[in-house]
Amino acid sequence: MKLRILLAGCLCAVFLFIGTSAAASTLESMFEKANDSFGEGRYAEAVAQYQELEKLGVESAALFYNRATAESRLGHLGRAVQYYEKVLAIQPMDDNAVYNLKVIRDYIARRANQQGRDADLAPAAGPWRTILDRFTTTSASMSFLIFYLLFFSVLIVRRWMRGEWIRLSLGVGAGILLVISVCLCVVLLGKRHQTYYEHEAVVVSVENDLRPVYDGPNNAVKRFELEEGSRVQILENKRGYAKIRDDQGRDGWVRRETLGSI
Amino acid sequence: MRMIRIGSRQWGMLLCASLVLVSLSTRAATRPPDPDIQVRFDRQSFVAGEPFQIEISVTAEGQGEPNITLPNFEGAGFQVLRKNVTRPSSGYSFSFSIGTGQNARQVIKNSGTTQYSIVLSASRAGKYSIEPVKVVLDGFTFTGKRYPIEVFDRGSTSGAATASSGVSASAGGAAAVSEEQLEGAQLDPDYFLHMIPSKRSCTVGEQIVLDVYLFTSVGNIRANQFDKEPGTEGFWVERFDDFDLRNYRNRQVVINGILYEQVLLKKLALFPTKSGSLTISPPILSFMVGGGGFFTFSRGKQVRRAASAVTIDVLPLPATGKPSGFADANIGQYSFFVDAGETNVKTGELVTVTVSVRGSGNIRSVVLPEFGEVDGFKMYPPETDVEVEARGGQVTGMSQSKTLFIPEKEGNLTVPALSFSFFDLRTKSYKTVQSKPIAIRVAKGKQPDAGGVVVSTPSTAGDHQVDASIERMNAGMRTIVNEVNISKRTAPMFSRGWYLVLIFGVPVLFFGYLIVLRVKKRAEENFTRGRSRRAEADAKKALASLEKESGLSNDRFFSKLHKIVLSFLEDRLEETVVGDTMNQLSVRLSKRGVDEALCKEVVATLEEYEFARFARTEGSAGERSKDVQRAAALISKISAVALTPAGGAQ
Repeated sequence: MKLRILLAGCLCAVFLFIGTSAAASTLESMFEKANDSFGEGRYAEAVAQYQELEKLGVESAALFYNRATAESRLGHLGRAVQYYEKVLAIQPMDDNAVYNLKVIRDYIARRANQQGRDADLAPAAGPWRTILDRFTTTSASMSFLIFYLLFFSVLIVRRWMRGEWIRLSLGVGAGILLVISVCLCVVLLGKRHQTYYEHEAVVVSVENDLRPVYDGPNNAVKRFELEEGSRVQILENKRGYAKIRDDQGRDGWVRRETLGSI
Repeated sequence: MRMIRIGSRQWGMLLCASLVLVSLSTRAATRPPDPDIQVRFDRQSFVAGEPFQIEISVTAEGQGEPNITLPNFEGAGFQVLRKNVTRPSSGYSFSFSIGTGQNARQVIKNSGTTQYSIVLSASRAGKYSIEPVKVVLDGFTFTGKRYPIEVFDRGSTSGAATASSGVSASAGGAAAVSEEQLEGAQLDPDYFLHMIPSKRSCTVGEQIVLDVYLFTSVGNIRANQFDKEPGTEGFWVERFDDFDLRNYRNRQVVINGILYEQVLLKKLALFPTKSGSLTISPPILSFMVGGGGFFTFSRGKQVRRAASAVTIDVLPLPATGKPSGFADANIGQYSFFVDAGETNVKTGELVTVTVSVRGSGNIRSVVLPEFGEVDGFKMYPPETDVEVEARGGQVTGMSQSKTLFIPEKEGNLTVPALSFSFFDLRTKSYKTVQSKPIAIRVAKGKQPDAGGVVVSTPSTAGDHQVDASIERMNAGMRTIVNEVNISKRTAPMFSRGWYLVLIFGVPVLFFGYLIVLRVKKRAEENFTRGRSRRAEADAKKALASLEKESGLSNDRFFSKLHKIVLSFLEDRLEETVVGDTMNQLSVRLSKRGVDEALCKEVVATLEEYEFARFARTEGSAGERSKDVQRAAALISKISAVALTPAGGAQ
């Protein structure tokens, strides 16, 4: 009886593995086909195919990067900025995304200047934000966990040691590990706050290169305007409108569909 | 020749005549030019009770200053509401020379324009006459023209220009503010703020124009700003594009006998989004009054005024005739279009179908109809766009959505018709407009793959025409990556169960372990401490048990007795005494505060037990009982001693 249960369990595991591998294989082939569309200059089609993968639940730096590049080819600069930002949320040190994002932002800034506007799309990031952006949620979680477990391990080992010097050394080591763990815990809490409470977005839809921002969700009295690709924080959603705050601290309302979430 | 004799009388007459001739000629030579008297009215038709403005300017040049007499307006039946005069500064005297050399003569002249701005009002209809302006200059009197005007009753259809020629009336002027419009106004003799809606009752979604006015009877209002905007909760608000304060002509109105200038500050289009009694909460305006002159140093004073709230009764849409699935925001006058870019395509090629609604109303809130699943096509979510124009008191515009259709099979496919329902405010009824189905002819193209993803031939259908500058930008960017390391979205690591178990479980285990160790140590300490207290009881218990045992040999009996006493000593002293010689034991007891006699007794008793082990004759039960009692007594004595702590501390 036990043998049968064990055998059934093994078979289930095998099928699960095969199924997972098959699903991954399908996703990869779809991704390759989308890349082929891009290579052949069919950018709109490539975007549609990347979109299909997103709908299937794929979340990958490579997918977002390729979609951003395809959107840029189509002239959808706001969408391109959105997806490059999504890449950096997963891989903060992605060189290609950082480079392409800078190219697009410089272009938008030049375009704005030519039209008589000041535009600086690079969000003003303080030191805390800079530190947070260097970590992904996974890297922050793993780093904290490792140092955290090391700290307790050192404490346990110290308990069993008898030598005075070795206990002292282990005590100092535990202290250092504690400080590092606390710092990483703060970073992890910051990333958690970013994940659950900070909803950031990019202006993706504009009228004549600009997105008007209104006084309220129930009026069209313009308060100010944002450039395409501007990064904003979503504070509230109401009746198809979103209350946003830009990096200059200005608040206002825009139609939700004109924003792309990061 | 006959001489003519002229007598004195004749000489006198001749002299007088000469003098008269000389004075006349001199007078003629010094008569100043006729002054230019201009009279202008600000309108061509006059209504009883409505103020109108007359501007009189007199330009005169002479040796003296002109003495100007204005018409007697009150005498003519008018009420003078305001009168301003602007005189030439410093008299604008100027001088010039006549003649040359020693005969040169300096002449001083006065020249300038005096302007009068007078606001009048006629309380009754009828014919009036404004007397001519008289100017006395250098002794000469000049008279202007008389201006007859006819004033009509309010509401009279006669409104033709009745001023005689010579009057230049400027356009503009307006009807006085009605009592209904002033309903709720917080009147103030100097200035007050008031909101006037175009209507106080309307249907949901119907446009209302809200004007915010400042009424002021004091001039020199400046630097105004809204500290609080009108509260428009329950309304959708659009601001008019063509509204420009500088181009708007202020009106003059009379309210309770006071002349005010009616200044328009804000003009909004409001669309009520729900039925009921909706309130537009009052705005608050700050402005400066007085001061501000170039040669004055007065800043004036700051004034704040709030308007009264305005209530609009909003009627709901009628229930009868409402189409099913009607979107409540679709209210106005609209036209509806659906068209496709390409109707002859191949499989996999993009067809863009555009749904447009155009007209007047709250176009931003219009809900466009959407396509459901259409057989033979793969579709992508539509992209919407809205263009709004708010001009001339009306909000119009267009709302548009573009849906991408990709035919998946060849043949004659059909994009189905769509219907759009809206409530027409003009006819107060629901209307439904239906588009026509669109036939798409699909030829054979590349087959879509098994994954359902479309593969099409290169086509620009649906692609944007990209700006050349963007193309140059793209040329400088890095291209896509071809790695296929993609995976599905997972929850963040910090939210996973195993992570939380590790984070909270490890310290719980660690501290739990520490707690257990501590508790164990304390228990041992307590046990050790209690050991001394329990020593006597344990020893006597052991003695009682030994006493009950029968049939033990001397060796066994006294060994046990010896052991009981030693165990007692160990427990009592909390030290190990097994292995001590008798001398060492005696020293140990002495150090702990046991007196010498008792030490000796202990040692003697233990030695006795040692010897008794090897006695030839077995002891009787009574003897053994005595031995047990002696041991018990010894134990009691030692228990009664207050031992000093181990280590010799006192």
